Amino acid sequence: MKDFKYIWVIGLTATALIVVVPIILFVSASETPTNDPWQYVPERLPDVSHAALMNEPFATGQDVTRACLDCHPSAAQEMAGTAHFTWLSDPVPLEGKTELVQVGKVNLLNNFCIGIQSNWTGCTRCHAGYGWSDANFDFTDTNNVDCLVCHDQSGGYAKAASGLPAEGVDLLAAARSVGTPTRENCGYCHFNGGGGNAVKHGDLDESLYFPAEEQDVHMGRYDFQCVDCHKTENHEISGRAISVSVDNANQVYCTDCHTGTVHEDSRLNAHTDSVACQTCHIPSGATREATKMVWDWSTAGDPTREESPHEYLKIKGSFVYEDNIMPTYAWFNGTVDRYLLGDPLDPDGVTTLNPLNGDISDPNAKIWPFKVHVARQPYDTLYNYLLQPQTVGETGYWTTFDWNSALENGSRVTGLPYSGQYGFAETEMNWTLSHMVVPKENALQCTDCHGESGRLDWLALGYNGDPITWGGREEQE
Amino acid sequence: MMRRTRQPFILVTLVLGLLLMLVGLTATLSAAQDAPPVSPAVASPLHPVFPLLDVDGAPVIGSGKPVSTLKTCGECHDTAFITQNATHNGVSTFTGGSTPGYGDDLLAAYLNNTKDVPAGAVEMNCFLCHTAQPNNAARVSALQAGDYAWANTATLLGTGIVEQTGNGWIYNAAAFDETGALKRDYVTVQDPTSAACGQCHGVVHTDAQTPLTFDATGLDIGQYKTLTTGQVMSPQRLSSSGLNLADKNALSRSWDVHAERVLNCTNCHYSLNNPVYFTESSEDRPDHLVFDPRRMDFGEYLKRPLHQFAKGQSAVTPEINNTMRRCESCHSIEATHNWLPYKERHTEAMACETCHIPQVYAPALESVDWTVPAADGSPHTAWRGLAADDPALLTGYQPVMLPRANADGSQSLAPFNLVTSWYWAYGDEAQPVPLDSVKAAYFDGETYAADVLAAFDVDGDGALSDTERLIDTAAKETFIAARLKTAGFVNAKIVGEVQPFAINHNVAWGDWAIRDCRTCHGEDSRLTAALVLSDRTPGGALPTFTSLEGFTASGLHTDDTGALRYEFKPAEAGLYIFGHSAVDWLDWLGVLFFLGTLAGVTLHGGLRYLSVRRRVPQQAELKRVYMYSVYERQWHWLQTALIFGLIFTGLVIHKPDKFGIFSFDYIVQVHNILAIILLINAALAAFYHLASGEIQQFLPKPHGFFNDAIMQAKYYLRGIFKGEEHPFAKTRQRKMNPLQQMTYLMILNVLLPAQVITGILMWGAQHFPDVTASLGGLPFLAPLHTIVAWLFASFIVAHVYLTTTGHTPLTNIKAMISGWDEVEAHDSGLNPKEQTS
Repeated sequence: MKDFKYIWVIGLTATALIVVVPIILFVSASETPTNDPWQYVPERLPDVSHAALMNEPFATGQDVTRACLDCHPSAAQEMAGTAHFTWLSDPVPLEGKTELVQVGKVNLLNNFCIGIQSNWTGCTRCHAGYGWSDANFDFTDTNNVDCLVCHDQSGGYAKAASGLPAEGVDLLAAARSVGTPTRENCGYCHFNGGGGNAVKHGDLDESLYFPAEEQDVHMGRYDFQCVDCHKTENHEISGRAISVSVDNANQVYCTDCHTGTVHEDSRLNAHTDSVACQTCHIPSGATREATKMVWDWSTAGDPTREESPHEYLKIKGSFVYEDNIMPTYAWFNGTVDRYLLGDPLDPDGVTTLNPLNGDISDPNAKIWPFKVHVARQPYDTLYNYLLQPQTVGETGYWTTFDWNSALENGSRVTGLPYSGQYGFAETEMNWTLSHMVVPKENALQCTDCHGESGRLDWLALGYNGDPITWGGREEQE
Repeated sequence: MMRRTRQPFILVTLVLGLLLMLVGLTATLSAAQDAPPVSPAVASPLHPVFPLLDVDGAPVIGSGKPVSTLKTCGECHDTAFITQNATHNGVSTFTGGSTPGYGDDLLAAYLNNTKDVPAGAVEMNCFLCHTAQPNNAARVSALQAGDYAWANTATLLGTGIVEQTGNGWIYNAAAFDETGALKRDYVTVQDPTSAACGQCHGVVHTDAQTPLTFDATGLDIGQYKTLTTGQVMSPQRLSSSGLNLADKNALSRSWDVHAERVLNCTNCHYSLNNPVYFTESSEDRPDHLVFDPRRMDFGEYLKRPLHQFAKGQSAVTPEINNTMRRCESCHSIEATHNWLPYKERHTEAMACETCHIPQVYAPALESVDWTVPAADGSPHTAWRGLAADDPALLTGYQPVMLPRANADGSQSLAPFNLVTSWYWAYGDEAQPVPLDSVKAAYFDGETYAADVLAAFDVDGDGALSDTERLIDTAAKETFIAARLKTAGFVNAKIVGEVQPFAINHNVAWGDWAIRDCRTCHGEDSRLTAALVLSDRTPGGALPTFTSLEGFTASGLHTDDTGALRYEFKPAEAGLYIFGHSAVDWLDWLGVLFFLGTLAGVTLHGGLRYLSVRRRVPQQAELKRVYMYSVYERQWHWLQTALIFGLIFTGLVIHKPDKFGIFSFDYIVQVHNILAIILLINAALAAFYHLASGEIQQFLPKPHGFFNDAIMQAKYYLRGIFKGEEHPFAKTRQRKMNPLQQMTYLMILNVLLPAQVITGILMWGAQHFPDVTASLGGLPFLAPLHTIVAWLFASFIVAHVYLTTTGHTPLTNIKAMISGWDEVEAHDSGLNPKEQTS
């Protein structure tokens, strides 16, 4: 028998394999790996300091933009094509319309300040551009793009009428400070939609500058910035709001990061086909700041009535604000229909400006939580459609308190005939609640919807009764 | 015998008595103060309108008489049948204490201030459970006032149907139509809700959004389950409740997962003939039928619904014990517990509740001391689940584990609260002294008697504080016993009882259940964690433990602070808990054997070393022999690795606390895999030795074996130090000397089989529990396995040492690696046959 010097290596290997392989094969791992949502969260690159690059004092906002374009030549071109600048969508199909339509703030009515046409100087304070004061704004001039409103990190930048920099803003300091947009940049406009903090959305307000973790798990516990979820490429920011968009292209979804089997509990996972994540994980809206639920324009202009910002203003009428609102729940497939200028309305009924698409039989629809904003706003009692009043400016209602002239002025701009007879019709708008996701420990529980005192009206949603006993939507036919 | 059957009730009785006067008082007050809300409840969508009838069957709106529930409901439902088949007919006379079956006689003795409601004085009270907003306080108040006739009608107070005035009860005409029937809006008849059950059974809070609050240590007997165990029935998360819970924010579990998952009390505790839940027993069903479609229809059920409700086991109404579905009737353990090693063994030894009710968060009664009553007759009480330094902070408590007899005759560990009580008893039968008489022994009118004060008032302030109300000396006991004797109670003495209260609610789902093996498998196993029963032992006598069926506890003891404690002793329940239940003396024996071997070889080796130094080195002539085949070496080293692995993993399982970095359940699985490989390796080796004839190596030659063995022993004891040659040369044909042969015979025929068999049987506790149990069960097998492991470990020490006795210390080891041995090329000791071969 030969004396093989390295026989021990073979023996050791064999022994190790015989011992280790069965252990690996047969001993079950105690923990099953889960899908880690963090893998989808973009890595934040450190901002490049622009302090040394910006030296000249800037006279105007456009000067700053020009300086930006020296190094980022395509940036303004990119921006100018996005809805943040155009306030208009790509052509999209809309039910009942034979041609594709382009919708956006440019041409839509809402039931807050109603519409921008004839009111540009006031509304475009929140336009990512400079100088939009009338119908003739030049959207092709890339110098009109406002880089600073999104990129300023000095905190000292502010916009005034027509979106121009406010008086006294230190443009040089702002230009030197630029960086990746933060909650402060986005919040400057989006937390103040509707003319003030927390007015419009119910899930976006200034409390999100310094959110508590119970209020918003992403921004509070993990200090998310808006752009962490609203991923942006070439200045095209993802995300859609059903107040201005009707389609769901480029939408942001919870499942972008929370992939795969999201709950440990199979009973909960059985819900995800029919219930939006938001429904359970956003138990209530406006948890920190009261949001506007009702706006009655018809009471405006009363000089005798005492003013109180959350109840009555002479220029705007009366309001109802609520906090910790119980959402309204409805089927929603991600798209909405849209009331367009000139669409007929039923003056005795409630006109929904953005009716939700989807119902229990729509496999793409899920039950979603909404803030529903109700308003009474002016319409033409002869032609039966909503009217666009001019509110801003010397001849606007906020100065004249004369509805007739305000509606005449507005209609002249929109081109929609005004009969001279106006009334106030009830409208409502749906606002999805998608922000202020609470920690999972505070999500809704079974009994919040099911059982004796559930918050869902199952019959109204199209079920025969509580699905806990009647079965899910598939079993309702 | 009578005494025995009453034992379990005494404590309940005492507990019940605790707040009775309070109940009466608050009930009266609230009944008087609450302005009746007018019909706030939603009318029943289904129940027809009906007239309220009096005992004569006439509408009460005409007669003005009290409502007869039996007549009113009896128009449609068979109230005679219902009354006869009801476990709850006693609720009509329940005033917060005298629940039938809970020993009314004792209550009557103790609670002289509550009225005993005469049997039959009140009809079964349908309204209490079947209307939307029953007024229990008004009902109790009426009973307390002796107004039995109106007690059931009083339940409707506040619904707008009836009002109480100074002159008595008046029906509200607006609630009735012209036929005398209740108007639609006033018909709120419904299935019993959980809240309805909560009126008497414990704290129920079905609204997840409104924070739950209650005075945790001010509970009355109407929250019986909460009072005795701390169980709270609510879907609400603990973190959302309004209670001052320690580390509250982290407590995102609900009070009860079943309540959270939208179950009501009646989903488990259903009427026994409810066709929705009722299933015929499979024993009655012919074999050819899987499902018998002939069911009771709803009409028949609604006419004659059994009012016995499915339940588990308790002393009350034992005739319907175990009619309820058990955890495993609804839940599949198979589908969910795959992470748990020894799943079957765990589920056999432990109730589901053991892991799934790891903590009860509301306080529960700990002890009730009736021996020194306060002025209002109330006892001294102590609560479990309060922070030691801040009684306002609720910590909850971990239940104690006790063996519970299951419906199928098996026994498993289940969680309990233990409530200890002390009271005065007298006579040879140790009959409880009525509370009135106890109080009389202490009091002179409304104040403590002067000599009682002298004996008890430690700080001399003229009053007895809560801490002074304690009989902590023999003198005090004798003193009061003497006073009781004067009152006619001879041989009065303090008697204590410990009563277990089962905990089955407040179940947590998987994430909150006990999942860490070492919670139980470790030195500080919570299965044996001491539960403080009381900080006092009045009279100094250990209380008796009210026995559970099939288990008598012996772990009661007082610690050095005088506190009374209980520790569960697993061995008493026939349990051996790996990682916890080591038999200490056996371990010490094993350690001793191991260390002895180690010391022996160290001494021997040291002497050899010294002797070699003193000796002139001799160069024996060597020759190389191919001693071990490849397979022999592979077999040997594999076995080496396995045995080391098994001893190590075994040690981790045996003493997990010493090896905290290892996952217990992983190591258990590794241990089992290694054992299987070892078994296969041993079997293959046995086959090899048998087939090749190498088995002869292990077989001693009978002739002259002992002489040879002695010669070898002498060599190890003497010759080896003198540099003598080995008495038996190692050859390919005869590798082992007689001592080795003897040792291996022992190992292969005794130790290895013992270890393999005990190991398989211990594993078998999971797979064939009956066999394991019949062969001694884990309490016998596990210690045996342990001691054999110590012997193996000792063998290895000796074995490794003896390999160094070759011509150089490493020769033998090298030979086992390469196969080639260097042996002394001389001929002494060789037998002739081998010399020639």
